[in-house]
Amino acid sequence: MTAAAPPAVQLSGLTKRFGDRLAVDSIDLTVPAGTFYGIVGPNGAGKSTTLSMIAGLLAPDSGTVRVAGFDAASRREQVLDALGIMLEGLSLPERLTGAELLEYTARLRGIGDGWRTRASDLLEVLELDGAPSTLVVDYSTGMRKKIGLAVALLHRPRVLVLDEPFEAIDPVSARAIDGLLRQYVGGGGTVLLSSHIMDVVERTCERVALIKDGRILTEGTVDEVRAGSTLDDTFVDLVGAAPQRAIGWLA
Amino acid sequence: MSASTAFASLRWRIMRHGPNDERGFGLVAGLAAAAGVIALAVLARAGAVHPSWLTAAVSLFGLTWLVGPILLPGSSPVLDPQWFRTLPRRPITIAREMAASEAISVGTLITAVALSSMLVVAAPHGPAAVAVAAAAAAAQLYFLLWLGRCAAAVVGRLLSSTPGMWVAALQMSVLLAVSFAGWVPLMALVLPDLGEGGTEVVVPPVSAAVPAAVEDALLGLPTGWGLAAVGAATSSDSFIAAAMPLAGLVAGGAVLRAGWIALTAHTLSRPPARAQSSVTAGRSAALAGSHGGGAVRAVTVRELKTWFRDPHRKLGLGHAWITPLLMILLVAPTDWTWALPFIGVMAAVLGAMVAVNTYSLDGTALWQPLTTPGAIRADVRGRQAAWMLLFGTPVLAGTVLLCLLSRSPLWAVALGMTLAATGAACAGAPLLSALMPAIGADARERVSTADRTGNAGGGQWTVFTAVAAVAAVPAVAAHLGGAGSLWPVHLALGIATGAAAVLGLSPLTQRYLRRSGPALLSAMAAGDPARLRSAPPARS
Repeated sequence: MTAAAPPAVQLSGLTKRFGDRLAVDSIDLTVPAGTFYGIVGPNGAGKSTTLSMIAGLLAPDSGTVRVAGFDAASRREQVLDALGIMLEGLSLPERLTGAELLEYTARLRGIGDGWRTRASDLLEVLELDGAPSTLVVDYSTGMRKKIGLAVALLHRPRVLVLDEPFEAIDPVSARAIDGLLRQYVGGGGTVLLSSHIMDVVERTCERVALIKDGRILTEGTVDEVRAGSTLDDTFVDLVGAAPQRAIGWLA
Repeated sequence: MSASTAFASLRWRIMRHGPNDERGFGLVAGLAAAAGVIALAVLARAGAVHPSWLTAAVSLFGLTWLVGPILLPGSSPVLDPQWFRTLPRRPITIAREMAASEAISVGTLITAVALSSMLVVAAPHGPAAVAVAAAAAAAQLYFLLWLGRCAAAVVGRLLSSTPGMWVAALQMSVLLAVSFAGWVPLMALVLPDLGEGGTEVVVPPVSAAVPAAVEDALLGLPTGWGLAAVGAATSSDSFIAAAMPLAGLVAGGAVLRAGWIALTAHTLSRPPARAQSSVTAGRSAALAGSHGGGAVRAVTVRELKTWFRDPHRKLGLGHAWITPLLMILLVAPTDWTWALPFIGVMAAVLGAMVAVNTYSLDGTALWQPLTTPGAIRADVRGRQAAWMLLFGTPVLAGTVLLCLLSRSPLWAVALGMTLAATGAACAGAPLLSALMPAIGADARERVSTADRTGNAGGGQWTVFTAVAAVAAVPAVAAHLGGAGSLWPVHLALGIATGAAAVLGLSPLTQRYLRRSGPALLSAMAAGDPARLRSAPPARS
């Protein structure tokens, strides 16, 4: 009998405050290993702050983060080793090409000679091999998302943390990313992503947590959360729709 | 509200909301300098110092308006004309409306305070002289404001094209070379035998006044016209003698203002800035041409490529390589050829100055070393290794060559100092880059030298002072130890000092990044250095 794998990510009482604003309010969340997990919520709900704390780029005010069974405060190196990270709005080493960036990442992480095959596969599957001389700074939004994913995946982490991986990209790029993530989860990996795009979360994720004002409003399998409706309707019901009224001067 | 008022209001609000670290530092330092100018005027009036020193000080203040934009390219205007490209008015109209708001700046305030020294000078000569002084200060300020704005617009225009960028790089290198070594030809005339230990002054002792010819030249330049008018008003000169310089300042300021409006209108009428870097990698960029090695080598290779591909780093690289060569051209024809090997010290300082903001230039890419086990150590060491290859090695090789060619009796002193300076610069630049980030546009948003970077002036002058101080250590230690010019002592002390700087500062940089790296990343993501101080340290 083998012991059950520890949760891929476990948050306990995670709290973060920016001045007077409570960005994350004592969140408890467990992401089982081997799942495709989505965090959804309106702008400013605390999604990116939560992911940044999991990635170790933001210190929580209180609470704990455990990744693959390791406590992030005391076992930082093991946590970073287990994580692959792609956060929204951050630069990469911009003056490298995609291939150079993957080589740099592989050397930085001490990946053995196998990195070359991995990099070649990722560049091909994500269709980044057609621009070998283009620097990352000149990449389109879609290419940027894809190279970011390749950087996160290269060391074959146990947990992928992705902030808005499908935001502002074309359907072809979205499909390439989607396919790669499904392969990764199929192989036992865990994906924890945040998104605004409900149909993507509905289509790809097994479980979902809905966050508003730094708190989890509901959590469960996608079917449980949408409860017979669409995830989009459930989201609007829980978060609240913007006021609707006729504006005379627009007519 | 008129459009001009709206622009002025917007500019004021942007300045008020900050970030104001650099602005606050500039205000304090500038007001201190301006107070010095006023003190000089008071002393000149009391007869304690010669009035020509006031002329020199006011001219120096004026010169900063011209030199500032050239020395700090990439500093962004508070109101970027590109924001208003889509307003439904002619570009020339928008530019004219923006013009009034340009007066709202820290530089204007500081200069106004400095120029009030003219009132101090005029006060004992009656109300008419004071009125002329007030008009002179206003006219001088008007002229300097538009001189500075025009210089910034021209530099911005030059930096947007590759040939223009090299012209701007050469301009800045010439200014740096003259700043660092321009005094050598003059001192070589005064103390021609200093290299052999001769301290006999050849020219008559410097009097308590700026030489008359220099003062006349300063008053003849537009930066001195305000004082020329005050001088005429406080002496028995005719009304015309006072009015002419004032008319010149107003006319010159108006021409410069028109120039700025034309350049701004041109910016407004052009399509949005180029979104591509125009840099492409060579064949080595493919996987087949990959390098071996570990994490430090990976960072070193990344750094070497970035130095040649990042527009701002490339500009700095050009300055650091060109300026020492120009300094050699300045020093070599003089009797002070013995001083040539000391250019190595300045070259090391320059290398540190251009590398003092690399963490900010790389911006939020810092997330990767922060989230990769062991990568912070590799990042710091790789940056140092790349610096040594690009700056340190040429500096040391060049210094040895200059020692051989110049046959300087002080070659060992110079080489010892250069070794120490090289070590300090190599280790000090990454440390100060992390400690004093001058945050501008993030790396992914910078494709040309015309794009915004932070004002690294504070870090540059800090590293200048620090490296120059460390460079003096071997010479001072050898002197105190009574070693004279024994070359093994100077070389050993130079190597020891340089090595100590590297060994001492590298762990400090790594520790700082582990502790405050997330706060630095947050500050760069927000474009606000204040977050670096307000954030709690990371748990390790």
